Amino acid sequence: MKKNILVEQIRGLLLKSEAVADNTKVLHYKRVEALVGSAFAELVQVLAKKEEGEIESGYVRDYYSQPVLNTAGMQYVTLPCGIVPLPGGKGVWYIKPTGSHINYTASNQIMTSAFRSIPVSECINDTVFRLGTDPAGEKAIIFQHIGDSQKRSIRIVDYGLVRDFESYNDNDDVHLPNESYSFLIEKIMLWVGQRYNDKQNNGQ
Amino acid sequence: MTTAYNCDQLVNEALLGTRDFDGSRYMEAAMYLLRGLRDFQIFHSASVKQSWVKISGVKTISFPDDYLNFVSLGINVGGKIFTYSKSSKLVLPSDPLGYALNDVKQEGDFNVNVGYQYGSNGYNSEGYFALDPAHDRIVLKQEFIDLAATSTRTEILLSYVANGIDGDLKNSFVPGAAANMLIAFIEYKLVASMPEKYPANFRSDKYTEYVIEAEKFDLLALPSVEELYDAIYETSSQGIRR
Repeated sequence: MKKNILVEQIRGLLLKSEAVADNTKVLHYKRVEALVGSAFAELVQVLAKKEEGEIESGYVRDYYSQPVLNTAGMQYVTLPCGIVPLPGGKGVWYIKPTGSHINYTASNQIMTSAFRSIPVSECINDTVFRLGTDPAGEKAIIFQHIGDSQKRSIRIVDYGLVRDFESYNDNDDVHLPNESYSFLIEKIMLWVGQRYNDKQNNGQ
Repeated sequence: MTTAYNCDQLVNEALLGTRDFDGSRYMEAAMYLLRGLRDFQIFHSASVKQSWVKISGVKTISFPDDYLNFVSLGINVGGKIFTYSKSSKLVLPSDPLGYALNDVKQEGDFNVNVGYQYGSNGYNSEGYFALDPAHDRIVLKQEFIDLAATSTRTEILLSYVANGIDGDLKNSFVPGAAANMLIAFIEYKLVASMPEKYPANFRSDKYTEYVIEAEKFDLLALPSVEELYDAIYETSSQGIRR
């Protein structure tokens, strides 16, 4: 289903009428879009736990041959869009050197630091990635090298992101497998409730 | 397909066995691999590594980086290893200056050689050494090193149990026969360390799996029928039947 149709449908359900000038203040398109975005994030989180296969087939957008930036000794890729906050940074579904079949391993600063202090770090020559912020304060994938990693010189990468709802264009398809549509509606109804028509104001 | 596994493959296969497809626990699994390798090399594998190591100015040698356990120390004489003997009576050169100043010469009635006054002079031609793990080294007996036959020697042959890591995990191999045991060990440690994620029966299944794999591997160390026959032949002799 197209994103704009989905948002309008849900707005219609909440309003119990067409969106007109009188009632759009409360349920403006952008406000409903944000609501659907929050429910969408929860939907993806549930699917990531129960039906992981759906994530890659329905929600991951691939980006190919993207440059690795290097500033002040820091190697990173700034994210081109927002991502769903999946646990363990899995909003970055994968990242790998362009042309390679092996993905970088996900890690985090605390874990990498802990492992660097024990002997195992002396027999690993590899590069891991973590989610963080680039020098400009933007959300970024940051590379961390352990030992003498051959991946230190890699400058072009491919990656797949689980985009957040806001990053979808109006005409982008939103993947809604099984009973996901009902899930979205139920969530939003639970949060907002259906609006009562104002009978004294032309039913709007 | 190669018959030997490299250690990186062992770790990755164990991660898949615990359904960690994104490898987020790679370093943790590698840590358990090192534990498993130590266990494997010391208690299950019969392989011994030999390495020529340099003798330092104070007649010590440093343990190699992959050293786990001592086997023997010696020099090559005519293609065979002449081994040194372990001694607990050597002066360790923790204070080289004191060692030199306090060295007492034998003279008069003070002679440490057994039987000196009652027959031929006992002479031990063996070299001695002492393990000094606190300083990560082996101490050689000064006098033996000074003998003419060995005085020019700058290296000594150390046989030891190594941890099997050669550089990094991708370049370190273990025999294919031991792969199942090591993978089972890593999987067991990974699930055992996360009781909140893996149910108790799954954890105990993984432990049982490891124990079974270890027992199976150890069966390979049993002697073959031919080796048993040889042992019987070598220890028996023909005699007159009575």
